[in-house]
Amino acid sequence: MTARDGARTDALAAWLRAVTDADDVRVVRFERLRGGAIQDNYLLDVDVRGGGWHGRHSWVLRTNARSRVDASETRASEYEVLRIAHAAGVRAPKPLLLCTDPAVIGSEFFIMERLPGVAAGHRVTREAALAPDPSALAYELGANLARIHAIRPPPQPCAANGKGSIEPSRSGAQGAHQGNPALEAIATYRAWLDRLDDAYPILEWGLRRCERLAPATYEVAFVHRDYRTGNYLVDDGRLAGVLDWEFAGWGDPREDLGWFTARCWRFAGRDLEAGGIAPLEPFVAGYASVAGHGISRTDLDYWQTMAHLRWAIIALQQAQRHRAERSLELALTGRIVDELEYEVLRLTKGSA
Amino acid sequence: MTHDANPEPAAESNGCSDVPGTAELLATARETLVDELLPALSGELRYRGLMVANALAIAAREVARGRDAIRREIELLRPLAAQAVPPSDPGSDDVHALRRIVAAAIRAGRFDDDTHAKALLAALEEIASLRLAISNPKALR
Repeated sequence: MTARDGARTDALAAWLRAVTDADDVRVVRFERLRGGAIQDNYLLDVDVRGGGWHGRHSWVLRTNARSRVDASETRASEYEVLRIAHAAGVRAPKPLLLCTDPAVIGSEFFIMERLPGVAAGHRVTREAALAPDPSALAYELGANLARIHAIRPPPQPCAANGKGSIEPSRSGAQGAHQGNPALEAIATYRAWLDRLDDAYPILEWGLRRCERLAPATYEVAFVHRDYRTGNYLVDDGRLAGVLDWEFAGWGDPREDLGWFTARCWRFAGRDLEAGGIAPLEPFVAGYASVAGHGISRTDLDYWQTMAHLRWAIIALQQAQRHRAERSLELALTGRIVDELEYEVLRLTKGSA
Repeated sequence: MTHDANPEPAAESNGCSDVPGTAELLATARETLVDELLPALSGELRYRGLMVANALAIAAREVARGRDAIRREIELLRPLAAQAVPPSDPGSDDVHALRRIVAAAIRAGRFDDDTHAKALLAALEEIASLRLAISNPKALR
């Protein structure tokens, strides 16, 4: 542990002692977890003596990585999102403590319960022992997603009523297409593209197609925006919880269904449409068991196209970050754009 | 793990035909990594080693075919750009400028009708396939 890490751990322990009203807090373990390109997650084990939190705790601390992607939210709003989702019965880690003071560990952070299980997409889609009944897991994932979508905006979604409100998470381009989430998303993606150095005819083609075929009817619900294999924990073959809520906000629920089933998020299970773990049917059946309806093939194709477009543009943003913070992972992320563009063309071919 | 075959002659070199060129250096470096280093690695380090192997494979394919792919992209984009900004032929060899013109025209709806869309799509599909053949040929379908 470096001197700087030691100072951070001491500051964290002091902060925890104050907020938990404890006599003493000992940080037993504070280790960075691999994985987040945008957020840093740490394993945090603490011994709390005295006060309402007395005892040994296994937590995860989540904070900002050095730089952020445009689509990502602040830790404070992610904490709020997690609180609302958890309260709605969605399987997700329970948020416990929020610190908006960047002085404590160098950036704002929150602490949540640590759920058991494996998240890594390449393992979940490859190791049969992790999910002996993949259809049952897909069904749970569908039902859980529908519970997220059951959260509906208050009558005035942007009203400044303090803690109860969630700001829409997409920055910029709001209002031009008031209401239609597909058109709002397209305007946002174009704004992101315009901030890149190069131009992307294939992505423009996909966006134009999606603009012209935008669904005329839609509902607005709470959407996760990164609900996919790799972002949920599987424990003992069951869904333990959904992670990475940084992109959540109001939107068309079909966006999440397209994202989850898109080919780009199937890892080793290329032909298994439900996130690379199972065929589509059990996933949609689970969804329908809570939502009361599934999704049409046309709508799914549309939102899978949107998924590839969104991921391609975010991948380009991440590749651009490689210049500021050299990372082979970020550099290679830039090279997956070719595959995403190829899929966009495959998915939009029939509509030409 | 399969070795990336390298049948093409080295596209880049130090100009001396008696020493290995860029493609050969990359291929040899990758073979050493895959055959000798990766077996000794596990967990996180093995994962990172695989990323390095992937990066070297992409770089080797790009050395062999990247230049031709961009040349072909320019050939394909030029007539589309000319359609987009008639009557002048941009005549440009700058692939970035051509991409910008075509991208803006697509966004403005100038390729919406069936005939234009068909020509555009054919060109974009060829460009996408050329690029995917470099970055991840296994994903070509």
